[in-house]
Parts: sequence; C-alpha cells; structure tokens
Amino acid sequence: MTNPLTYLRRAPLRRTLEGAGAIWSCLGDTAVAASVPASGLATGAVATGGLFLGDLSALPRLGFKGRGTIAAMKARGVTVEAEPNTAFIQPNGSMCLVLAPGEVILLGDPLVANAQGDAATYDKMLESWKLDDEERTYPLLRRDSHAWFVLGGARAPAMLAKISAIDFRPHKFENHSIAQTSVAKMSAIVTRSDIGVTNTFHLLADSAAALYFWTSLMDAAHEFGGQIVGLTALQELSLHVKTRRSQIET
Amino acid sequence: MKILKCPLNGPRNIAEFVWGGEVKPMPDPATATDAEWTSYLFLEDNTAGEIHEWWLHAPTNYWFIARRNNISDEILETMTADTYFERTGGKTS
Amino acid sequence: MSAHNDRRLDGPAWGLLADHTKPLTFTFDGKLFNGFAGDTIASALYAGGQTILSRSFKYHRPRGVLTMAGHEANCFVQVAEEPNVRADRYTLSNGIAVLSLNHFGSLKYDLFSVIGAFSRFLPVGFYYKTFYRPRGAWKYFEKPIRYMAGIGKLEPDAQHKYYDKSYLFADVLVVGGGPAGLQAAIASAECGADTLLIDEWPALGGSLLYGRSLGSRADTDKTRLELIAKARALPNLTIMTDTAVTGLFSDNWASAISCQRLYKIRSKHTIIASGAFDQPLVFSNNDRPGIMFADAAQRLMRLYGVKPGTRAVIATSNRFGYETALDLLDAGIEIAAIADLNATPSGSAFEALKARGVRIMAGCTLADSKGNRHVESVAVAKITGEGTASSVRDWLSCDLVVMSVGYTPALNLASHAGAKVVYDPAISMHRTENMPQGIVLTGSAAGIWNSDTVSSAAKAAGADAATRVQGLSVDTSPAPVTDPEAAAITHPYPIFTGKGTKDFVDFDEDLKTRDIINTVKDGYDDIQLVKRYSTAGLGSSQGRHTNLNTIRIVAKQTGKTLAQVGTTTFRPPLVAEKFAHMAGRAFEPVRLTSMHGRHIELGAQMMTAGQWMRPAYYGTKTDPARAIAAEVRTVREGAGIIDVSTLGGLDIRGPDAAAFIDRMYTWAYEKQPIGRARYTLMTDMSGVVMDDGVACRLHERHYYVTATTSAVDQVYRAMTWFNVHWKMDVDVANVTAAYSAVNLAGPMARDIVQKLKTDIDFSKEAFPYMGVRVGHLAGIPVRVLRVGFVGEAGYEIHCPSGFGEALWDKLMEVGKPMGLKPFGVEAQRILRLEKGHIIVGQDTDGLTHPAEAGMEWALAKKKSFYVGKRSIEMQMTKGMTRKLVGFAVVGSGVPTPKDCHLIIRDGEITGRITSVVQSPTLGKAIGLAFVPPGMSEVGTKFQIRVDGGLMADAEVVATPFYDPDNKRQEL
Repeated sequence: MTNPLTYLRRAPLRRTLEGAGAIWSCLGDTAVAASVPASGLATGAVATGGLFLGDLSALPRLGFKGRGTIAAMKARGVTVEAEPNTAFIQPNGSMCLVLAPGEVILLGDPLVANAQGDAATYDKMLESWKLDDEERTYPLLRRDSHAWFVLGGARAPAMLAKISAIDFRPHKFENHSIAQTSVAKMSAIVTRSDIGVTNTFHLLADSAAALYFWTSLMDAAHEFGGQIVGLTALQELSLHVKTRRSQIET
Repeated sequence: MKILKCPLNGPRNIAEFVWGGEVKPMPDPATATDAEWTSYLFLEDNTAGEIHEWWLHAPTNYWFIARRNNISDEILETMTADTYFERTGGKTS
Repeated sequence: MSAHNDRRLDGPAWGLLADHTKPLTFTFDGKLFNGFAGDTIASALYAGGQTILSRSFKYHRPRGVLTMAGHEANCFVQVAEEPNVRADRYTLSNGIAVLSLNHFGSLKYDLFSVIGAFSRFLPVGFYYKTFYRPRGAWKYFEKPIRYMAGIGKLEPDAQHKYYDKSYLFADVLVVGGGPAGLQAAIASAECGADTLLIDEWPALGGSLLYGRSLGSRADTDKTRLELIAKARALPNLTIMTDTAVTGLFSDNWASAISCQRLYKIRSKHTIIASGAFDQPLVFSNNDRPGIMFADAAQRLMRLYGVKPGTRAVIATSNRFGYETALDLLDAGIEIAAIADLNATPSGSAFEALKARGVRIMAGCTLADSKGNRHVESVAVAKITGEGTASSVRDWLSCDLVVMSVGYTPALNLASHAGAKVVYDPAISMHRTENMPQGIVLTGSAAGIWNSDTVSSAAKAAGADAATRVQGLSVDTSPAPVTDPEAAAITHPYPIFTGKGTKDFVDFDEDLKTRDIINTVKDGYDDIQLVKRYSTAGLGSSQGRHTNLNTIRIVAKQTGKTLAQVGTTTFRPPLVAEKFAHMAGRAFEPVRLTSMHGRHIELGAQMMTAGQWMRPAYYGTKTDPARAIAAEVRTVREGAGIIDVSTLGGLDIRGPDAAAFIDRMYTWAYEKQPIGRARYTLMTDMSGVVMDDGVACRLHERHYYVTATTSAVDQVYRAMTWFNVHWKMDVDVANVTAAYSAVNLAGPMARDIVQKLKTDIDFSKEAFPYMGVRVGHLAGIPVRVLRVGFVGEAGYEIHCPSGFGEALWDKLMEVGKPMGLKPFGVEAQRILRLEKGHIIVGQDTDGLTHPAEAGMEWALAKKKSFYVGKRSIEMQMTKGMTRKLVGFAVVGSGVPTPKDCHLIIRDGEITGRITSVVQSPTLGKAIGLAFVPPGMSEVGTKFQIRVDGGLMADAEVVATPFYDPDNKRQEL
C-alpha cells in the first residue's frame, strides 16, 4: 500500500483526503488519491450522477510566462495559438491553457495512465530551459503554486454559480474555454474540458488556500449530492466514454 | 453591480477589478520643479465628465485603461495600455 | 378528523393553494388552530375566526388582514425565534408556534390600546417634538416608548441557520408571473432567449389566480393553466416561484430572495411585470379587522378557500370591486351594498350585479365604521365634492368591508434602476420616464389594464427583448402602449376625512390624514420632507399603499398638482431582506503553509497574519511568555527553525532584470554579484516606505526578491503597473505560493544543515553571510539565503511548496538530536527587535520616509532614477520632524510599555512606540519609537505613559541592542 509520506512531494490536501479514507497510488514523484472510499461512488454514477469533485493536485503541470511564450511553446512541439482564455488539447490528451498572450499552463492528462509521461515531458522542458536562450519565456512552478481540482456532472454549473459570478452553463461557456476569475473570493483559473458528454471543469487556485477552497467546493456541492472521486474513477469514466465512442464508430 | 469589460478577460463584475487612479502624465522627475512634482503627486483636477482611469483585473493582475463618464458613471470604453499610449503619442509618464 | 369549518369554502374553484386533504395544526398565542397544507398563517387564522393578527404600531388598535400579500406591517407575527414574519405570506407547517406582536397583556385586550384616547399627545413628528424637554427627559421616555412601539422580539439564543447566496444568469429576466409576465416570458423564450421568470408567490398566475380579468372566473382560470403549461414546456424558460426580487441595479443586476438564499441575478434585459398595488379608501376607522382590499378578499377565497365574511359592504370605483362582489356571491356571502364612488356606474360586472338585485349606491363613499375588535357596521354617505361627503350616514351592518378604489403601479424596481417616476393625471396613477437601457415595464405596472392589451404588449416586450439580447437586428422598439381603460381604474381622490378621526393613510406607521396635513402645516411641504418628518411610507409597506394618498393630501394642502408635488425615490429592498441573507455564507480565504499540519502536531498556538495562519509559539496557552522566552534562548544558544513560507516571493527574469530592480528599489543592484543577496527598500512615488526584503541574484538575468507577507500583492501590482509604462525586457512573477521556506537559525544551524545530503557547500568560507545558493538539500530543490533577520548564523531555505513538509521533516529529523526546536512569530518578533530590525508597516506608517526610519544607507546616491527618488530628495532638503530610535526602559516597578504607547515630555505627546518587547536575552524592555529629532541622541531620557496612566522611564539606546557588531550572524 502506498504511503504518501514516503515521497518528498506531497499535495496540499494529503491530510484531508486521508481523513476521507483515501487509498493512495504512486504517481511518479508523489502519491495520488486513487480512490476515496468515503464517497462510495461507482463509475457509472460519475457518468450519470449530478456532481463529482476530485483533487488532482498531485498531477504534473508547468507554467511558462513571458512575451516569447507562445513561440517557445510551439518550438517545443506544443499545439497552441495566442488565443487567451482558450485550452488547447494536445494529441496525447494533455492540455495547454493560454491565460494571456504571454502565459500558458501545461496540464497533464489525468484521464489516462500517461500522467508520468507528461511529468517526464515537463521535467525535461524545465531542465532544458535556459535564461540565456533569448526566448523570453520563463517557467513557473504551477504544481506548487496552484492546487488542481476537477469538478463535473450536470449540476456543476449550478454549483459553481454559488461561488462564482461567471455563467458556466454549457450553452454559455464553451468547451475548452477558460475563465480567470474569482471563485469563493479567491483568484482561480476555471477551464471547461468535458469528459465525453459529462460537463467537466478544472479549477486551479492558490495551493496555500487549498483546504479553504476545497471546503468551499464541498459546501457548495452538498445540496447537489456532490461526491468525492479519486483518480481511478475519473480514468474509468474516461475509458467508458472512449469505449462507447469506439463502439459507435465501429 | 456594474460590469467592466477587461480587454483580456471580457465583461466581468466590477468587484473583480481594482481602481488604479486617473491616468495622468508624470513630469520628468529630474527636471520638474518642486511645485510641478508635488502637484503631480497630490493635486487632482477633479474633472467632471470623461476621464481615463487605470484599472487592474485582480485575478490576472492585468492593467488596462477605461474611459469613463464620472457624471453618468458610464464606462464608455476600455482599452489596453498600449492602445492608449498609441492614441496619446506614448505619453503617460 | 373533520376539516369542516363554516368559514371554509369547498370545491375546485376555491383554495387553489390550500390542500384540504392535508390538515395541519399550529398554535397562535398558545391556542390551537387548524389549517391545511398551503395555507398561510393568516388564512388559517381567519378561517378559525381569529381575525385580529396584531396591534398597530402607535395606537395599539386591533389590526387584521388588509392585503393578503404581505404588503404592510399589520400582518407581522413571530414564529419561534423569527420575528416579523408576514402572516399572510408565511406558508403553514405543522406544529409551528406563532405569537402575535406589539401588545401588552393579551392581543384581545391590549392595555396600551387606551393610547388611542390620548392620541393628541402623539402628534406627527412626535419624536422630534416631544420628550426632548426638559433637557435629558428623552432618556427616561426612550425605554417605554421603544417598548410600546417595538415590533418583534429578537431571540439572543436563536439557532444559527444556514443562509447562502448564489448567482443566476439569464438573457432576459422577467419579474412577475402574472398574465403580463407569463406572456412576456413565453414570447422571449419562444424567440430563443435564455429566459428567467421569477414570481414571489408559490404559484404562477398573479391576478389570474383569483381575479376575473378575462370576464368569467372559468375563462380566467383556463387562460392561467394554458399559459403555465406553455411556459413549463419551454426548455429555455426557467421558472422560479416563491422568490421575491428585492432590488434592481445597474447593468441589469437584480437581487432576489428565496427562503434562506439570496440570488444575485445578471441578465442582459429585464422585463418588469410586477403589477400594481391596491390602494385604500381613507375614511374614519378604515382599519378595523374585516376591512380589506378587494384582492385580499379574492385571495382568501380563491387561494385558500376561506370566506372573508358573511355579509359584505363594498366600496369601489372600478370594475374590480364589482368582480369581487361576484366572487362573494359565488361564495355564498351576502352583499349588503356596493358603494360606488362614481356617480354613474357602468361595466359588465356592474350590470350583472344590478341584474341580481344587489343594492348599488352610486356617488357614495364609506364615511365611518364601528365594531368591537372586528368591523360590525359601516356608514355610507353621499359624496358632495372632492374629498367631502354628506353628514347624513346610512349605517349598514356587515362583517366584511371590501375596498377597491384604485391601484398604484409597482414601479419600485424601475425606480431602483434609475427610472424617473412621474404622475400622469390622465390615469390618476404614476408612470416612469427615462427608463435605463435594457429595462422595460409591461402589464399594469406599465399602466396597461385591458386584458387583450396586456397580452399583446407583453408578447411584444418579450419578443423585442429576446431579439435584442441575441444581437439580432431590431429596427424599432415596440411603440409605447397606452390603454384607455387605465383611466377607469384609480379614483383621483379617495380620501374622506373628518376632524379628529382615525382615518388611516399609513397602516404601518399609524398615520392619519390629519398627520399629513399637520406635517405640511409644520412647514414640511416638500414630499421628501413629508416622508421623513411624518414617517409616511417608511414602514414595511415602503409606501405601497401610502405614497399616493400622501401625495394627494400634500397637493391639496399646498395647492399644487400631484405632478408638481412629485414623489419620493424608491429604495431597495422592495421586500425585507434579513441580515442573514446579506451575510450569507461568508467566504474568507485562509492560507496555510505546506508545514501547517506539522505545527499543529507540535502543539503550536496559531495566529492569523493577513489571510495566513502562522504559529505564534509552541506550547500550551498556560504560560506563553515562558514558552516564547525558551524559543528565543534556543535560537540564541542552539538552533531554531521557523516557517517563513508566508514571506512574499517574486521572480524577476529577463535581460533588464537588474535595471528594473534598480528602478523599483532605492539601493543599487546592477553591480550585485551573482550568488549574493542585498537588502531591498521600496518607496512609493511620494517617497513613503512601502516594503523591504532582499534581492537574490541567481543569474545575470534573474533575481529572486522577497517581500513582506502583507505587501507582496501591492508590490507585484506596482511592479507590473510601472512596467506597463517602462516596457522593460523583464518578466515579473509573484511566486509566493509556489515556494515554502524555513529560517534555520542559531549557532548550530550550519552543523544541522550539513548533516543532510546536499550539493551546496555550506562551509563558512564557501557560503558567506548574504550569500545565496541554488541546489539540493536531502533531495529537495532549494534556494538558500544566508540572511540574518534574527541575528544569528542561519539559513533561509526556500523550496517549491510541494516539498515544504518534507523539508521540515528532514531538518527536524537531523536537528532534533542537536537540540533543534521550532519557534514562532512571537519569538521572532523579539529576536528581530533585539537586532533592531524594523518591520515595514509596524515600525513605519503611511507617511514614513526612509531617513525617518534610519534607512539613509539604503538610498543609492548615484542612481538617476528610482521610484520615490524625487520625493525623497525633497524630504531630505526639508528635514525631518521625527526619527525612529531604539530605546530601553530603565528602572522597574511599572508595567512594560506596549506598542503605540505615547512618549510624553513636559506633559506633551512627543512620540509613540512602534514596537516593544521584554527581551529575555538582555533582561529588559527594549523597543523602537518615533521621537522628535532633538530627542534622538543616544542617552536622551524620556517617559512613556503605560497602562493605568503610569509613567515608565526610558532612554534612547543605539541599535542593534544585541550583538552590535553583527558578529554572530556572520559566524
């Protein structure tokens, strides 16, 4: 059984998820909550249920900022354009969030088991980056500065409306768009990236306030029967979607 | 709650923004007289009518400029600082 | 159990909201009552024969149902710990305990009701006039008056309930679910707009629920059901009932309340179809229980299946009075007479009643009423002129009086949003001018009364709104609709007063015609002053049934037209909002460092530092001073570790990094070697000290700059603001949350850190004081700064925050055998003060310039520019008025001074303490204080006024107090 304390890198909600009975699994240099039994949610319930929440803070991500960022990303093979507040889906399923003409965050794909591959890619990007390269792009440790939460289901927009002034309903907030706004009185980056037909949002917010933010999310989710999910349930949901899609295609 | 349109993030509740003061040109600190410098720091025209103001979109720390009628409290337009500088010939400081 | 009650109406036409198959019981003032699910408290009480709901505000007169819509204060009751519940809107639940308000003794025999006999001692404006003489008299009068006039009782032990807030979004918001609102919402949704329809009642329909606007009751009901079915079938139409829109603000921002939630609604277009408020007939004793508005009587019957009486007199000037009469006949209620204020009644309902032989008294008004706790008879009198009636009275016995003499449109929300409300003499009602963009009125709120016109105008308004919000081209707005029928709705002067009578204009505030007249006579003839002096419209009705009559009386008294008198501005909220609604679920972000859990496990007492939580000290609360002193000694003698993750951090990178920092901070950085840290001092453009920290040069083009916890956001904003102007080739990033940090300090610090696996040479020679190194420690990537805030050899170790807890664990693990102990903010305060280090914001204020704080050494003389330079030069020329100095308390026997205690010389205040501590190391109280320059010489003696007004002797001492040669930190 994986013990998160054996890793030097630990996610901000380690204690909170442990309290909810999290079962941990190894994710490269840290441990991730594979399942959170207290929620007792089946995969099917994730797909059809009203609302689910998960902590993806353990997953790899990396930011770059500076006026040469978009060109520098393209030079590294990232699919991206200078379109602020847009998420670009990479061929391997990871995402590149464009926050401003000179700022991106790369998010590893939580839905397939290649998170370690993304981690390796980002580590390599960070190691090979040099200040003297005249690229005018500068890395930012988004894995440390920002906690990462996933929130999904049909009731997710209604739940978000309790903590944010942005209209996140599916017909008003397109898939792969980003809102940098105030959520529960904190600055947050909200990205819509649906899993199949399940309305899904990724929230990035100050890692130091992760517990406060999580508590606010849980409180807002309560009336909709929001359930905590671990990484496994999310991946199974994604797999379920993909299987169905290939069945339909064939 | 008024809406302010951020050039980077679009229309948002004005609560997401921080007011940054009226846009006014800074005299050259090296050549300005004491009177000119203190006037720049502490005296305001208090124009009643159209003014240009600095606004910051706090979640993205993004500075831009809004043209506002402070009598009717209408925000007439918002623009990037670069757009404003181009219009005014690069002068704010 | 039999639910039969002779005041209850059976059959599908009655009691749309009350479910007669679901009986409930509740108590009112301890007495058991029956009701049904869907009843309100008031309807169930009325059915049970309890027609007195409360005692009035000033005269303690018995009051009952007036509006059945919660529009005034007489319906206020207390439900458990909740005061001021509207009995005519509060839906019953089984077993609730309801209490009546505002009476002394029992509701039936209120001992204060004798006040009515002394009413001449309660004149209008009596707060302003009475009890202020003799001087000081008010303090004796205030308590009994407040007690007599109070409404509701606050329960200090009330259970805290969960209230929250939510946003709602719509292209088109429609306020009001009556015939106009339903049509507008359907049209808007059918045209493709995302539409939100809000109604404050539990069921949609508005007047369709109880009225006869489509001729017959059956047709009206049919239309209601058809409209609702149509509305519910539209997927892009969201319907919210039981939700009251309470305010409308700029840019189509509305507030609404539903149960325990406050909604903040953002739309692109708002259609207000909020209807109109029934208006009272003003006559003597027009407030007895049993006297009510026509729509109140209709609501009692149609919504709740309650007979409002057995024998009725109706006073009317429009079709609604006659339509109500038909309803009363259908309910088996006898009609004694209909007094029509018009000389020549007309209309189909009138004809129908005439045909049924009902006595109709044309050109008549009601002039008086009698009754003991409930109306027993009314006097009908011939109208002789505007506001006058014959003294010949025809007394008719009855137990129900129905008034329908006009309406006032609900323009409150339009007024909130900025529309101007003006009087239109053509219809004897108000209307709006200068409606803000994106807001329209429709239905009776817009002066439209004919049901066909209501329908067509509302459809047009809905379609127009939908077209606009979807950005489709709109050639012209719908033409303004005028309805000829509107002129036949409202009587121009339904006020028939006599001398010294209780003819109420304002039922909340107990104001009579005479009070308004006297207000004008007292000189307050402007409508704004009338309102404030008389308090007309200040009660919970917010002028709904008061304004129009008040304006009429003022116009008559001043000889002006109603248009000239004008009207007062409506202010939100339209419906009462509780403080709990406004407080909602509070969101107050709390930031925790990555090591937070470890502090708790180690028994830290946490304190707040802005949004952050920090350990104040470790140990029990029993003896903090002892615990703190022990922590200080550990650092001075062995080694201590403090979590400094809350420190602000900025990465400044790019070719212009050094030049940029040179412009932002007062000192010189361009020649700073890589691998060195240098003190930073930031001033604003007026030369005031903003922040300090250190700048670490990690690369030719990379500085890692620290900032104080509270100032880092301001520093970041200032840096980005300046660079918008300067356009330097540099990137500034606030990395505060990305890095955790500890300060490992004390003579043993180096030994401890060297026990860990590392690629950094920590030897004294390789890593000197003010050095900076980047590398790994125990496998963790770190930035290590040899800086000395606490004045001992030590390392500030920064790492990505994901590793923060592990860094703490690793250091504690190797340090423990060597005596390493954690220390908190309190010990750090002492340690830094012993070293004479200032804290910006504590030892400086909003006016402090660097020289005052003894920071001249940090001002680069040769630089041509830095932010604040110009102002600092001016200040230096001008000279100082105060100086920050170190001091020590001499002697003993007085309490230790505290921060902000004053320095007194010759009885005058000459300065203040900014920081002071009892130093365990030096065994005395030391601190920093602002004193005049003339008192800043070392050795100058002064006195501090401490707690209890005692004076402590102190003298100016050179800083640092401890280790003045700074040898220890450079060890």
